[in-house]
Amino acid sequence: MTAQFTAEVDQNEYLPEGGRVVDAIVTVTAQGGDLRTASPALTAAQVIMVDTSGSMAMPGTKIAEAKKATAVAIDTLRDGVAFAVVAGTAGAHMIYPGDTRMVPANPQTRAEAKAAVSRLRADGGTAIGRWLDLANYLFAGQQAEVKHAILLTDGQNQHETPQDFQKVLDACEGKFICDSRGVGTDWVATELRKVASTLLGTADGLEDPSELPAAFRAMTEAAMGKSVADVALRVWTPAGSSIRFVKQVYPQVEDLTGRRAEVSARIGDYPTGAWGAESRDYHISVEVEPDAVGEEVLAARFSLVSGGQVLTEKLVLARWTDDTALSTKINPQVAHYTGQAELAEVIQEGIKDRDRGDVESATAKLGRAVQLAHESGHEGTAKLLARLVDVVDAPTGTVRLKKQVAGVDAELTNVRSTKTVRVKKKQPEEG
Amino acid sequence: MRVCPEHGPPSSPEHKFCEVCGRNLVTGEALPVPTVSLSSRAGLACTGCGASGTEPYCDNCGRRRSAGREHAELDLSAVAAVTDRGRRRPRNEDAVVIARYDGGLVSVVCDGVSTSTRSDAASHGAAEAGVAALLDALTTGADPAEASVLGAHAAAKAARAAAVPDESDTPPSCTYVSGVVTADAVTVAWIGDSRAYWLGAEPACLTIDDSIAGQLAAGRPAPATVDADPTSRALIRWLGADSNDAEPQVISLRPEGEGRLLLCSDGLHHYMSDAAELTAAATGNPIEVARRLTDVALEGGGHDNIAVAILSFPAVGGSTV
Repeated sequence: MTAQFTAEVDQNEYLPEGGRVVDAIVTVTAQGGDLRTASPALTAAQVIMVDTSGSMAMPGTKIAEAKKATAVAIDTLRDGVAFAVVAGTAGAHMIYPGDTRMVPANPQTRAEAKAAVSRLRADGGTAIGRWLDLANYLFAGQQAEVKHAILLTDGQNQHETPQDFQKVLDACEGKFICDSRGVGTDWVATELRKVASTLLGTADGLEDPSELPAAFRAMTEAAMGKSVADVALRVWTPAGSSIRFVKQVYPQVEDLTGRRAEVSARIGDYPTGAWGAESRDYHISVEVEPDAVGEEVLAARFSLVSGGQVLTEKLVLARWTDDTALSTKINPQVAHYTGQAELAEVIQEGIKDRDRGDVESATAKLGRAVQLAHESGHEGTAKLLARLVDVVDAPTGTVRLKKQVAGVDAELTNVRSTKTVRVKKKQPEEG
Repeated sequence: MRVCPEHGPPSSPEHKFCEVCGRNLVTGEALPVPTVSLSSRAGLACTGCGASGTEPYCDNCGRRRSAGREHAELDLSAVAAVTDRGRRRPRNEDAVVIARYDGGLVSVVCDGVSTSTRSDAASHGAAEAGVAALLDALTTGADPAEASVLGAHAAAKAARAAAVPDESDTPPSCTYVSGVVTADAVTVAWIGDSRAYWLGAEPACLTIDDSIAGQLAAGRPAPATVDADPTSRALIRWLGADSNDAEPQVISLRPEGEGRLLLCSDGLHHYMSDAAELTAAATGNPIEVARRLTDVALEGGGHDNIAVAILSFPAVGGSTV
């Protein structure tokens, strides 16, 4: 394996006497140039799931753009990548190929697939679990290193129980990666985020169906660009310590704590999916047994592994000091991502409270969200929040809930709540 | 009759070698004295939890592995050493290595500087590299003064190598003092404030501390530093990644009669620095002397790590070993 992974640790390793909690941000970067040129492309397979429920025809641009987008995604597949297109309704059926299998992309299969997609008609209900179930079946017949699915929906998952949906998600976990997109006004952010979290993909909503082709191309390109599959985040922690949490915090917040697979008593693996040329940040928080002032312990050893090979490794240290100038220093990265995680949480809770009619709590939480977005310079989220609340004063988080809000704005804000920004570059001194 | 000139006849007349010293009784040839060295470096067991390993941090409890033992006694008979953590410091960052070769005795004491982290890595690296280079030079014909300079160079290189690339703090650093005792001379080289004493008929401290106070006390001009407090015992020279200074001061003497060379860190000379007092305490064989002087420092309070090495003069080749 020739991929170039590097990692950097940001932390304040100094703890006061008796201090127990060690926080660190680890930035992992996979280098682009080396990845592309030096390592052979991974074998890949892709399933595209297109919502063809009746609502996709209202307005007709949704199904039209979805067809266009699917064609673009098909054209973006490398030659030889196994693919299939699935139509999703209250059930799931094959659009291309005609039977339940996948075929390698080549000029002929691409043309056939696009012709089949162009004949699509919108008619029926929505049961996302069934679509995923079919995709899982299709992928099971494939040996590809990267198995990637695209899921497009425009409506609520009405035609199956949440329990059935959860069962399918559990069955699919670890089998393939899935990026989900919502289009129109009736999709549900929490459903898409759940798919993205479980299947290690992304979730987003599109404000306009015309954005679909570009989104499908980007998702397919990213999948084609993956050069290391099944990367796990491996964390060693010392005897007597406990892991408070392990989160991915950039480009989006993803709590990985509960997804630990024990390697040994000291070591656990957390799934991160496939990597292309990209950079991600992780926040790890460990509680250690305090040692004497002046002592130093390894609080965590943090590595990325794939196929038994260590791609990069970093150490997270803790040292006890009686110098309060050292121990009280707050690491800006840790503070920033603690804020970003809180931002995601208060947005999700604030919207839930708002939907329940708890105006007071919703106002407080969305106000705090506005304040956090303002502090961290998270303009995308600040703009979305401004569709839900009237901002009186951003620095103090003083807001009023808007009386009239388009339903999709709440979903967009919710689905994007986990997207984070990195620490602002220092502004040059004014002078 | 095959008889060893030192140990008499063998237990059986058929035996071709002396059972005591290995001398070939047919040819009369003595075994060459093997070059042997001992270091205070810690073994594989973690000083925190006892789990064994070689990683810089214990793979079980996460504590940084100490490079040195909390208490070590090294004994090669004519040369011996003791080092101890003392009563205040969490780790023993002093290092001592002793050795004998066909021609003499060698020792190096290095004191890890406590303001830098992992200074035990620097002190052990430097002490071991210093002795290795000294032995290499001495057994290939270098005179003790030349060998002592080469030893200090090797030690400086090892101390610099103890630094890790992305370390944010002061890099690991240490002092250095080496002693070589041969049949007719005692040679000492040093950088820093670890000392060498001649314990014998005319006892004396042989080294001059590399501190402002040390330089002034020796009648040397005060070094040009920004804040030249004449009583300052802070080091002005040391080994480590933040020092390019690898030239030791070297002193040789040819004592008239028998005696001992003492090498020690400030963990001892803080409590007992008078050469005559040290000589008075130095009775018994080398390991006994090293233990006794270590106890002096511990009983005095043991504020710092202690390292003491005793080398017998004159060195009498293999027969005293």
